[in-house]
Amino acid sequence: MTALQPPAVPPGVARSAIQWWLRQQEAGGEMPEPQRRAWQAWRTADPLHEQAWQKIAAVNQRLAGLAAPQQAAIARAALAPRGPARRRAAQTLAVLAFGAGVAWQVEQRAPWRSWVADVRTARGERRRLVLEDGTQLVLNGASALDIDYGEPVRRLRLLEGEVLITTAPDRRQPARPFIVQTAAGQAQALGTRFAMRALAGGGTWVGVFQGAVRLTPRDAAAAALVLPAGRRATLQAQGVSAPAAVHEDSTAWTDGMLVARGMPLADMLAALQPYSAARLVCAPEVAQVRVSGTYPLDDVPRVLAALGALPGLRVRTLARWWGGQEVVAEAASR
Amino acid sequence: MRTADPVLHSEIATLYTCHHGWLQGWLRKKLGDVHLAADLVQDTYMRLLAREEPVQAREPRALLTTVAQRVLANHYRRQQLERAYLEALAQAPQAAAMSPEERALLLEALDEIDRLLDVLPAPVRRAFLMAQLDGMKQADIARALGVSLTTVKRYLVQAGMRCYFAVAP
Repeated sequence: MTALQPPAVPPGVARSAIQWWLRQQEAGGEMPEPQRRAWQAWRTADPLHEQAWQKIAAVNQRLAGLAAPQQAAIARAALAPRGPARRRAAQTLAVLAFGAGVAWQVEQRAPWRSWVADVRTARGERRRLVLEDGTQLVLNGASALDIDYGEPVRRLRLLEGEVLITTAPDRRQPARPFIVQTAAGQAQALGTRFAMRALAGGGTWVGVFQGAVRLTPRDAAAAALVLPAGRRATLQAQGVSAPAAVHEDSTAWTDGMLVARGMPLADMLAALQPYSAARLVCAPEVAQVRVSGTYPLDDVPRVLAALGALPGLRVRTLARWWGGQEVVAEAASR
Repeated sequence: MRTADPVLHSEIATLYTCHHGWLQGWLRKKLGDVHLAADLVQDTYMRLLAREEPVQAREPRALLTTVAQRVLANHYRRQQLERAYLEALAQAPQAAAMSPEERALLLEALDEIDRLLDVLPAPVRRAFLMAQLDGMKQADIARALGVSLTTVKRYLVQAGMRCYFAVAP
């Protein structure tokens, strides 16, 4: 019985894992490169280290649920140490929960909470936020964002999914630049309305609708480029793709719609994915099939049925052994 | 490895038949509620059954009260948490959008964390919540609590160790 259990992690190793966890949190999830390498080295040095780290990840995940802005205020009030402090914490809720929308959940970020916070949306959920400076965010489904309003910059980190940003001028003097950071680099807003979407390959799609945005690739600062209104480009760690035209239609998701004008099927399925529990798969032979129309994001099954009715296309739902579902769009002749 | 279960079970059976009425009376006096007392008697024996070692109690009633005290403390903790939770919900407009199911799930999640943190001193607990729920930097926590950065680090490691060893692998 005992032999089958993994060897117990000594407290010293657990302590080291916790210290790495704290370092990572302190760095806002982005440790400087040498530190990140040291952390990786620690993890690979001993299977026990990795085992301890995996457990930390599990602990962290449980806590992350409570740190979602929807719940953090309630969690803070309920978990505050016993006594008068708990009552005080409950009162601060009134500051945080300011003006809840009807169809949308609007959150006002109070200045006292200007430090890092994760904002997450679930699959099929969209959320509008107003930041302390009046900047408006709309998060698409299955998206995650860190907000770090400090000195000397206002910084967002797009970790996953898509966000539409309408920046407001900073009330502080001197005004702090507004920067969105992604795995591929950063985008500095120059008085704008723009959208960013984290792509599966690590790049970031950027579309500008007003003003301009300066894109700086992570590993090629010299390749920085100013993207004007009406243009889109893909930011990669090593460079920026050639800008192309972007239409206002690509923000229709903020109204729960998907507007396609000759959109490649693969792109369309990618846009639907944040609204579908099943994994959407596009067979390579139909990836470039062009689709047009206006579709409701909140009714993915209906959209898929409509796609399946297109000539030459077939849409099948498969149950996978791990319990999930997969919807495959493929050529009808197969 | 020796399996303690049969021994443990027979011991607890004895504890139950001989002292269960007495324990229920003891809890009823503390709580002033017959039904609640019966529930907590149940919890007390469940807790004894969860042990891996035989009880070997020379003073069975002393053992029972020790375990029942813990059950009672947990009950009061849960009661306080529920009260604070309901108060928090009442003040949070976004709670109106939560389904009863979501509310119950959130309470269970909070209960899990609350139980973890229950044994920690108040400042350690506060530092941990500031880091986890508010994403505060260690320097900000130090300032807010009026302690040194080193102390904050120690607090956070202490809370982290508590979570680490309390969460099942």
